[in-house]
Amino acid sequence: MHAQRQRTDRGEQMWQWFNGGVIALICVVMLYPFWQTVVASFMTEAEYLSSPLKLIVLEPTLAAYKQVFADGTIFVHLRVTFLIAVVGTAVALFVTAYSAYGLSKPFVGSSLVMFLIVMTMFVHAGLIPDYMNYKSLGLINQFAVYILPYMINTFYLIIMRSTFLEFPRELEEAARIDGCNDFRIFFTIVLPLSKPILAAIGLFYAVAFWNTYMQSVFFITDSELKTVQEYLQKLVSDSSDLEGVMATESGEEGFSSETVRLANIVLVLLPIAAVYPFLQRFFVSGIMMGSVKG
Amino acid sequence: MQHIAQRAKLLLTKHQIYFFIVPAIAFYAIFKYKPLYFIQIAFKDFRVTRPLEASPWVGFEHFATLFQSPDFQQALLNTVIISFYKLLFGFPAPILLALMLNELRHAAFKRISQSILYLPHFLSWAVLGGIVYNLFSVHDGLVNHVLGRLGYEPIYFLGSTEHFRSLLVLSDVWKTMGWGTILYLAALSRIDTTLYEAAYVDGASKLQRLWHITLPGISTTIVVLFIINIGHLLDVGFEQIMVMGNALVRPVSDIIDTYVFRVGLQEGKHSLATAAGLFKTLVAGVMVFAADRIAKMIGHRGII
Repeated sequence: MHAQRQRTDRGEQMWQWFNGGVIALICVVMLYPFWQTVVASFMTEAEYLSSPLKLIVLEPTLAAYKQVFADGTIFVHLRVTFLIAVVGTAVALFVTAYSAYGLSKPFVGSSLVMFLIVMTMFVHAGLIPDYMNYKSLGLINQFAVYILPYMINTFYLIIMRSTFLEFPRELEEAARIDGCNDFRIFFTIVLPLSKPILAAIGLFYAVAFWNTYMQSVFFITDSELKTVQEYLQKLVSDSSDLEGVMATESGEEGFSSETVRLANIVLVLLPIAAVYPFLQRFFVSGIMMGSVKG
Repeated sequence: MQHIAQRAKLLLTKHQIYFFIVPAIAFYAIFKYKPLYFIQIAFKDFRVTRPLEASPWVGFEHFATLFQSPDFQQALLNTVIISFYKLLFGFPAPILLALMLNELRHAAFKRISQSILYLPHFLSWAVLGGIVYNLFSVHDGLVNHVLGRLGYEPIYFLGSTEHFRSLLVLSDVWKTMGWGTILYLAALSRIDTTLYEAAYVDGASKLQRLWHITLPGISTTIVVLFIINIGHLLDVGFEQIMVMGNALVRPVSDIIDTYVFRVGLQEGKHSLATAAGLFKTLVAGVMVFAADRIAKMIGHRGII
């Protein structure tokens, strides 16, 4: 690419502008819905209904958020989800790294074990067998059903294992001669040296746990234990059902919860937006894909 | 004596590694392999009131019921249709986008675009679906607002069987297109730049370079991702349907996953739902195998 740069002719320059322009346009189209959602959540219901197209708020108000706070239901679910994200990430990151380290060492039957592990990426028993399994383990309606089955993501396990495989052996050998056992090597040498990959995978785990939805729908009936994703889904699909009724009953004036729903969406979106700048560092540096071969 | 003690110590340190492996093996045994045992539900007359072991075998009876059920037929058809459109639009989109991003010279602009394009991948369907719902709402949605300004009648997108699938595909492209570029960009960055320089010196046009250098450079990635996509052909996104679907569009939005959930967990027909789930897994297996074979036939490496 560098040689090309020196020889940019007119056609190339035009192409650069065109290509950049199209990408900029795609970005604007993709980003706009988020911007609009955030902005509209600060509007009064009247302002929103008069013109949803606005890019800025004329008279910002916290009315929608006040209503969300007054209702308070979402905070029950935000709390559960926050706990899932914190506990889940800590547990999953540790168990994944711990297992990946073991699997990166030679042992009897290692290729069979790796084969059986990789196979699980393609073979699923299905929803009902999972349900029966959790039931037999006493996990139905338990907080643990959010964490235990997701302690190891096979894809991340494989990534971590290949990172450990590429570790310089000399370091571990030296520690072993100094009398360190595997546990000490793992905790004092391997973990500290793999901070970048741990941070990357930890963030990906955190996002996945924050977005926990299906476990909540399938295996939890206790409404206090439902995740915020399911709460939000119900909120959205209820209003879409409601809209169906309204639409068939002909143009009655809007129900008052438009901006309130938007405020709920913003609250669920916020934590992801908060960790996003940290996530960026990893996918731009390509730390994840570097370790995936093929 | 000292020699033996040393060996014993070595053996102990060697075997320590099993402390690291046992939890992983237990995890996969309990959460990934044990559920396979319950697949027998699909071949038994299982009731919640009696233990699984005491339920009589019924052979393929549930599968027969399943395939005769108009509900399941519709769900299967919907799944295939939605999946086909998602593949048709969703598969090439990241390839094109990656090729375009790869052309960008301005590093900061490239980085910012990537950050924007990747964002929807990290958000749940509850959030994205809520936003889509908002944009396409019939009363005050932005799209209908614009249509209204242009003098059109408002369209009830989310409640119309005609538009619903397009909305599913469109929002899916929104969520997956950007992140989908990541493996292609990695493959593109591995292409030897001297190839481009040589081609440039030889007077190859931009299109020729694209065709003879860039595309062969990412063809393996394309094939591998295509095979993986084919394996997920019947996974069309339970969560997305749950968020965006509603009673009005049920005839076009009911997919195998929502069918399994409704019949199995809500109506308690465990056997029927297990059969449906098993059918899905088998199809995925066959599809991956077939796609892999075809890839190998046309001279690619495949994944198996």
